[in-house]
Amino acid sequence: MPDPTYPFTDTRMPGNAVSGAWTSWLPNLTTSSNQPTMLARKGQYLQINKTIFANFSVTINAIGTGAYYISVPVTAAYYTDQNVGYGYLFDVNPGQLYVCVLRLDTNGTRFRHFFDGTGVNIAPTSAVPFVWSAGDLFYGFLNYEAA
Amino acid sequence: MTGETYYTSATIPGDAVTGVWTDWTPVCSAATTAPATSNSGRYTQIGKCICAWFKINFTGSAGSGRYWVSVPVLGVYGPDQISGYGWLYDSSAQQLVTYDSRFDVDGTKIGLYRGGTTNYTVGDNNPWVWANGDVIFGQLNYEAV
Repeated sequence: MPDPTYPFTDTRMPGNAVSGAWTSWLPNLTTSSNQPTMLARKGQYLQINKTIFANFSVTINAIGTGAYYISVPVTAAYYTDQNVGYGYLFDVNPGQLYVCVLRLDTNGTRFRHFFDGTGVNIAPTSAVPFVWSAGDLFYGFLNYEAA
Repeated sequence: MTGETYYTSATIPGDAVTGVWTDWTPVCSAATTAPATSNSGRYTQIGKCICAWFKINFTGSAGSGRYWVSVPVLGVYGPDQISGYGWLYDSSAQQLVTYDSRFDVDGTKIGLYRGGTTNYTVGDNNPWVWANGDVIFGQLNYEAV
């Protein structure tokens, strides 16, 4: 029996996440141009070796321009069209909610919300599915394979 | 310290604890005739917890009847137990529809259910007539037997 050495490392035990401890992280909202700002953002994640569980919320301030992406807590392994979670968008005024799935971008570092619709009206931009304004929200839960 | 067992990544009980992902090929079946598809997926097992995703690429015939998709590890079956979610994509109309999935027959396969309609079970002609280029993508989180 080996002599115990603390703390455990990944070579002794597969990840401190086996304990079920969650870690805080700060999701980052970006666009293709004219970056938005955030009134608030928060998230927590759990890593069990190559498996990530996370939740998050982002409250937008300045809406920026273009397609909205949100960062992941740990770079993901990318597979074509890969879905990595679910969530919703919330238009505070008039209080409308859009149920979404979350799809990974090709670089594995960010994802987009997707909702029921057609053509370009299936993923959020500064003008889709509503004209965003300060206080509107992104929520989500992630479960994916780390790179 | 004595009387305790120390595990290494090689000896910790059950590979499943590691949370490492592996390839898996799901099967898309139907009530009468299976559709023509090319399928892929990845999954991991953490104790009795299964995390997985799958992709069903339609390559031809839509088959006949409502659809089911197999799961990578036998699930604990409970009537209409939610097991995951995902999206459907009609490539010709560029239409995306979200859905949730359930173990609705047994723990070997899931049915696909979409909201906002009384015609909610996904099948050969619902929500559209499935054709080459269309996609079903799903994620699963459920308890293994």
